[in-house]
Amino acid sequence: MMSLVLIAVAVLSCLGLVFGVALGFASIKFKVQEDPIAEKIDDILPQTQCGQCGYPGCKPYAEAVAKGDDITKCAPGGQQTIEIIAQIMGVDVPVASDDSAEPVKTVAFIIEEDCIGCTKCIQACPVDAILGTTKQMHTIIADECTGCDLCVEPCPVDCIEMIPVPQKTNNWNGQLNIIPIKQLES
Amino acid sequence: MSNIFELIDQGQQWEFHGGIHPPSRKERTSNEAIVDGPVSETLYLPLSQHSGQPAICAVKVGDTVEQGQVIGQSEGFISANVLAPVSGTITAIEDYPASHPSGLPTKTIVLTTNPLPTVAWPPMSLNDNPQELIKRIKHSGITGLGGASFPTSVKLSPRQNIDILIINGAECEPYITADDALMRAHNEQIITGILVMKKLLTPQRIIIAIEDNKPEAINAMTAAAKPYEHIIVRAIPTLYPAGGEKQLVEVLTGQQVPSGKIPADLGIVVQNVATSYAIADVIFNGKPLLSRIVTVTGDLVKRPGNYRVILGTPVIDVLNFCGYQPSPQQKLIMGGPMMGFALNDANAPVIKATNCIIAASDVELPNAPDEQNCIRCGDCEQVCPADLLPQQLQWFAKDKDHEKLTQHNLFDCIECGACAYVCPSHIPLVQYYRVAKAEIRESHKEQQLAQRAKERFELRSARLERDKLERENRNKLASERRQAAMKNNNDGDAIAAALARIKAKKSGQEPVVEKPPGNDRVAAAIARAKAKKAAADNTPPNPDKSRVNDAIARAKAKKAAKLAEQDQDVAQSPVIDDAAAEKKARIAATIAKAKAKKAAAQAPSESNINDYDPDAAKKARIAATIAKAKAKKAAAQAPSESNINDDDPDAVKKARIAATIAKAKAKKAAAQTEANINVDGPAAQESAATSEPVIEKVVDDAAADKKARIAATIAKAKAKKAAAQAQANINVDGPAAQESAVSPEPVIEKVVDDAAADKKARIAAAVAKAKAKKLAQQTQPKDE
Repeated sequence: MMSLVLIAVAVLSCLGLVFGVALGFASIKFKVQEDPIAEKIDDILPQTQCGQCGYPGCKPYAEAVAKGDDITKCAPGGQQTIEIIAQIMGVDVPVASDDSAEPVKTVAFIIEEDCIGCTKCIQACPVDAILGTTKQMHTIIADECTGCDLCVEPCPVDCIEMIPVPQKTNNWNGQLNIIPIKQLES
Repeated sequence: MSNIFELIDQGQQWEFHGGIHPPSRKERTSNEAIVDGPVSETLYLPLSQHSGQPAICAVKVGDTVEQGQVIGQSEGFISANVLAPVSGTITAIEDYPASHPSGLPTKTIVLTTNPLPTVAWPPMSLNDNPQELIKRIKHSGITGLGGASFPTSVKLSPRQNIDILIINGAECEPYITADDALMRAHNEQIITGILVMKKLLTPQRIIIAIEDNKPEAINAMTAAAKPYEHIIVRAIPTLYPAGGEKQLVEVLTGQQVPSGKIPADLGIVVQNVATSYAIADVIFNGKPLLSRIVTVTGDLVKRPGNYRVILGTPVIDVLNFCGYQPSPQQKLIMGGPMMGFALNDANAPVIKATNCIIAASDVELPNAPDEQNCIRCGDCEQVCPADLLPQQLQWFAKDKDHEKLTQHNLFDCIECGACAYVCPSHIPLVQYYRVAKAEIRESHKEQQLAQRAKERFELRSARLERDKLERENRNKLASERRQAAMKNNNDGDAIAAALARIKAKKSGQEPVVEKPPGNDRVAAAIARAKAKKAAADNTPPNPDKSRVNDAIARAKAKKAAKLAEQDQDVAQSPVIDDAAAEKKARIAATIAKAKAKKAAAQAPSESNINDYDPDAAKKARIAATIAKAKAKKAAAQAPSESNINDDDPDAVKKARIAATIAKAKAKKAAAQTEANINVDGPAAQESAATSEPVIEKVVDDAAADKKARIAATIAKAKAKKAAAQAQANINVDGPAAQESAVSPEPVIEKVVDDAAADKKARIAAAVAKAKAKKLAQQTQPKDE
């Protein structure tokens, strides 16, 4: 009788030990590194590095949001970004104010005749999208421009304009009748 | 694969999922021969007429171009040349309404035609090198003429082994008869084109697929293909969209092209009959793709038919050529009614992909009724040739659920319109898919751009950080180099000594005046002090010397002033942009000058010390006070000046420490001076009082020899005392000297590399040393 009890205890202990070791091993071996929230938020931010949120770039804002900052500060991201951040953070989507229109994507444009070659805009550009050197005309690499607006302020001669990205056939949104149809007369 | 070949050879055909039977409406033009179209005065040649990258404009306004000249150079792998279809002059390169569903303006070369002779390239033959053949095809800008306009040269140089070449003559879309007309009229040339492709692709089977509603074309092609083994003409059941590439592959081989793959992955290439015709044209006739067959039809054109239209001809010109009668509720459609698009602007040009122009009234093509809600009937799913779930896709598209859309293989949708055609609720399903596709593509692109912007931002940040570090390192290295150079070179002893002293002070050692071997400046100051004292002691016997000394002292003071000025000048240069620092430097210079003047004033006064002792004591006290004030000022100055190099926290620290030490020293010195004056003053007075009568006595009383001797002894003792005093005075003058060393020190640190300043300091030191020696020598014999 006693031996039966002992055997049962021994068997259960052994099983416990084996499973414990197996689980312990698995917990180390197959540990899933949780993607940090800041990283996730950074991935969905538009990366214009515009600083409109008050942080010196998208990543710092992502980190601030992860620590509980307001999620509505990303102007270039628009409502869509806010909604995704809200989803990641598990908070309610703030009601959008009526006047907050969806952001229009723009690129900077240097009026080259007016440029004096001061390089101030080059220093301001967060993505190195401005070409030029001292006393030489500068120009924007439109493909790299994020439309962050940061170069407009430092320009001493106000020769930088933000122009909306024109809709072309290659970035057409598929919406028909964007040009009102007019009836053709012979 | 051999199994499939067997089945194909046996005449086996398969079916694709779904499909519809729309009214074909081909009767109007199916018996029309190919007629040359209009020759417009102005041609509009968009740089993007094909899939892939737009061509790059290779001409400028005013250029004269000849027929077949490349005016748009292909850019990248998937791209095609744009050729001048007719000789002429480039009159503009502008944004012009595109032959695109959006109707948005796109970059277009405007060519004004000249009636110049046509130009043909030298013909090639099948024996030519395949690479040369491909090169010619690429150069001629041939794209798939079935509708998608994929560059043909790309399709003809696949990486995969090709087993089956399918020539697509299905032409399943209603209205269109361009390929039909071509097959009827140019069956032989199509076959020669196929032979070129056969040479390039080396397939084992070639299947020409024609829908069974074109018996004439089937007969013509069968006849033309008869001499060639392995070219099979296959009549396939009429079922829209059998002409779709993937659908045709399935019908002919039973294989489904997997999602996200192309037929070439299965060893199959599909080419349109018109493409084959164009290939034959450019290889054997030397005529590149300059025109294409376009079916012009609809109830609003009087002479519908199949026209050979020069690329770039405005649609309105083509329509007018065919007897176009505009109607208020008309529809202008480019392409077929199922997959084509309504033209926003009749001035849009005919491009490589334009196989049909329909001008129909609202009687023939009535407007779609209003969209109703989805009733989930599932008809769309039944007809979808891509085996998708159109209904689900519609919901997801309305919800903008991009993730779900992608999961449901939205991008496998060929936009054939079968679902919309059968939809009882008249939902424009394809339109939803197009919008969703565009949105997904756009967001994908934005993501890529964001990623790129992020990378660039991070690289830039890294670069700025690296630059900063490099700059710091460079500065550090430069200063180290300078220090090393100074250590190696005796010229720099004074500064090296000063730096060493600062270091010593910093490391918490006693702020005693140690005299490192090369400490010329301090040594000079001490020597000067000694010399002054000696001069003062020796004034009566040698008044000339004292005058000389005074002069030297004055000169020295001037020199010091100059030096200070120079220091200031040098100090100024690195701090040009810092007005405050400049001001401070100037103040420092002024103080140094004042100090120097005071020193000059002090020198003669000190030399007279024996003449009027209380005055000397007073002066010494004043000097001490001045020294104290000066020290304080220097202390105040030091940190303020240290602002100049606030990027160097070490310097700030050093300067502050130096200032504190200087202050402490100054206090100590002041206390000592006072003590010295109190102690030595009376003694000096006494000795002076004694010595004068002694000398007189020596003159008039020889008997007082003993006394004289005693006096001599006293004098000797006095001299010793004076020497001791001088030593003590070191502590008095020492701080002053140190002080003067301290106050320009922050400046000096800046100008360590200034050899001139250094030299002057050295000269001053040398002069002082020499003087001290001289005086010492003079004093010795006097005392003996």
